[in-house]
Amino acid sequence: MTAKQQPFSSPPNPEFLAGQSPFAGQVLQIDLSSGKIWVDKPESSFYRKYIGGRNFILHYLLTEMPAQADPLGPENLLIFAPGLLTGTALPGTGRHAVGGKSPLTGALGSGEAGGWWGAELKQAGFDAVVIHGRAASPVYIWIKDGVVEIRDAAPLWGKLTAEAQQTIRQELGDEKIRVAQIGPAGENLVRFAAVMHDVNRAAGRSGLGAVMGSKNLKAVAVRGTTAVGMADKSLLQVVQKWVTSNYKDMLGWAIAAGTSGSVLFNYSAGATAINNYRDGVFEGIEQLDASHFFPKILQDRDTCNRCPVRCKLVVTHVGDPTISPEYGGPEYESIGALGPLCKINDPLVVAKAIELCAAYGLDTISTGGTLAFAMEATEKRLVDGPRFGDGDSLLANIHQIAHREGLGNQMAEGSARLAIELGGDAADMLAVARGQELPLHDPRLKQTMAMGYALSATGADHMHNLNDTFASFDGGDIAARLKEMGVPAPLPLWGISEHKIEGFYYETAFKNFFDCAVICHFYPYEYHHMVDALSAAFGETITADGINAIGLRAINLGRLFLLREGFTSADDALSARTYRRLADGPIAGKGLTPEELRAWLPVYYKRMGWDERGAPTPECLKALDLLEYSS
Amino acid sequence: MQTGQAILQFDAAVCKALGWDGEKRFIPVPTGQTIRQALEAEGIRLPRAAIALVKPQGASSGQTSDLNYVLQSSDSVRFLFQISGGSLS
Repeated sequence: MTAKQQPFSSPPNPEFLAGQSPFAGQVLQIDLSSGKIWVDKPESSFYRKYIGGRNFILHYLLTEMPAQADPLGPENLLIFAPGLLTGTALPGTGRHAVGGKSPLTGALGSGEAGGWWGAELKQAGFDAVVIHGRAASPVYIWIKDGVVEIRDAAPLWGKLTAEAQQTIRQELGDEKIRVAQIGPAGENLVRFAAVMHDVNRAAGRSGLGAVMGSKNLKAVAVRGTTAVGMADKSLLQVVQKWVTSNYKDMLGWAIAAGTSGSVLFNYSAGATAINNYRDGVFEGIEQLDASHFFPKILQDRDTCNRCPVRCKLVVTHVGDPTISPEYGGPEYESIGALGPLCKINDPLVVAKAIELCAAYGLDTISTGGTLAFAMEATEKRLVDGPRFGDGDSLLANIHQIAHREGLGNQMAEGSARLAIELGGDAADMLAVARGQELPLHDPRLKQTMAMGYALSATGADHMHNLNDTFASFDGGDIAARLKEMGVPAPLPLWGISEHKIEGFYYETAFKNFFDCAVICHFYPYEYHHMVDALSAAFGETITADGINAIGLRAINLGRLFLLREGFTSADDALSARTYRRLADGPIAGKGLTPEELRAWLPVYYKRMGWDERGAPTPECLKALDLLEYSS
Repeated sequence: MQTGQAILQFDAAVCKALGWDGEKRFIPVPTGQTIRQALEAEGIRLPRAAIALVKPQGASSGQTSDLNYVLQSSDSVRFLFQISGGSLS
């Protein structure tokens, strides 16, 4: 394989090299159409205002992507953005964000992944990578310690993710290279294809793998050797010490079994959707809990950069089905989407389905949601497709989606587009927000989260949202953060209220801050921890209000992006199936009505400083120093 | 169960978290009070439990409730411990 052109080189700033700053001081820009490579050198004020992650993504989408761009066209951007704290010594910061305009929703595409890739990029001397254009033929990008080149990826095209990663490492002669890549699903422009990192960490949601595929970009391989520093290391050590002293207690659940240990809890509480949102009870659910399947398939535990928890599972199985350990293991969302939602209770089938999604590069949540929709359509004889409870059918259809074979070609468009194609009453079977399939946090139980699904610039997302069940117990991190903001806590479990909207306002600001920093949401950091961490990073005092402002910028920039791309307040809604009342199970008879949801939206708009159309007012934008984005 | 009583049910995991011996424990409590009040009256603090499954007598399954649910005669209450998310307790 030969290099396409001479490598580009740009060193990071001296403070970064001296270990005195967590920012390299440069954003890498690559135009795959022309092969041009350059860097932005933002002012320090840019970093203080946005800090990274989702804010960086939205800044570049709003300033460098033309309005109404085709998400699968060369004008869309694909942005890899670690955050202020990525790669630092603070536990929980081994994450980065990936973004662009979503081909699934037409809205903001934004996903975060754990692992090692984000830290490696920072260590290589870049704070973010912005990719423009479309290569004439498959390529990959190779970044090492400030040096960048575009390389031929024709031999990699069509390979599964583990095989592609190994080939890249062998070609470049370094087993420590970290690889972000797409699998066949991204190459085939499946609208919910994921960007995979280290093979088993997905920036899964909103189809960013298809954006990468549309650019003929197979992978971004990185290697960096500069330690990410701090302006005030001793102040950061205060927070590090708090984590080290308490994580075994605070994150005991994650140490025990990762998110797979929450299957029975979530099911028992009514959070896990079953049979495409039609049932409240699922026989055999206990087989999908970690306590049941660990003895069968658990091989090891894995972790992310600078994290002592090791919540990531490594599973394996020899026989039928064969499951390879390199693709990781079942997490709650994936188990729920490919298990109960599709009426599958065999843990081996679910683990195999998750492995296939990692190998092909598919978002497990949208894969499960789309399959469940197609299963109901099969039941109603609208299509001849996958069947509920049929493991072989599930696995075969995942393959068909990734390769756009047969009905897989239509399912690869996502459930919302498939519903339009089927017509008639098919939309009644849909569980989506902005066209994105719902996570496994049932909006009939978590009703303020339901509002968050409807409002999010990404469509349905449970991460930068308020989790009603977690917010309803005292002693948790959400209650502690709300109390720091003067909001009475814990919050009531049920419904939406002005009290809960106040909690939603602060918690979504904080979670968006997390996605800018970029930090693992499992770490129960409070405002004062983040005040110390940011102050350590910048060498000057950052306040809790400053942290909220960073998160609120992400929410408001996301809103401006939605409005620019043609969304209106009428799109702040959920699809029909999410309102259907269950006849049995723990949340029988519970749920919002569309009218109830709509009635609360103006209250939220007002709290945000938006007008009655849900548009940020000039006063709101001025307060957040965002007037430059005002149209 | 006597009329005017509900039963608080503590599974093995809850008992373990509370430092109690035994696999399960059942505590009868008066009705007409909330679950939270019943726990307080018994001197029980469940730091990670905000959700209860309340099963009326004869019902096939429990209903998700918060701790403000007012206990009815013959209710059986099972507590769910939060798994995932951070806890400072």
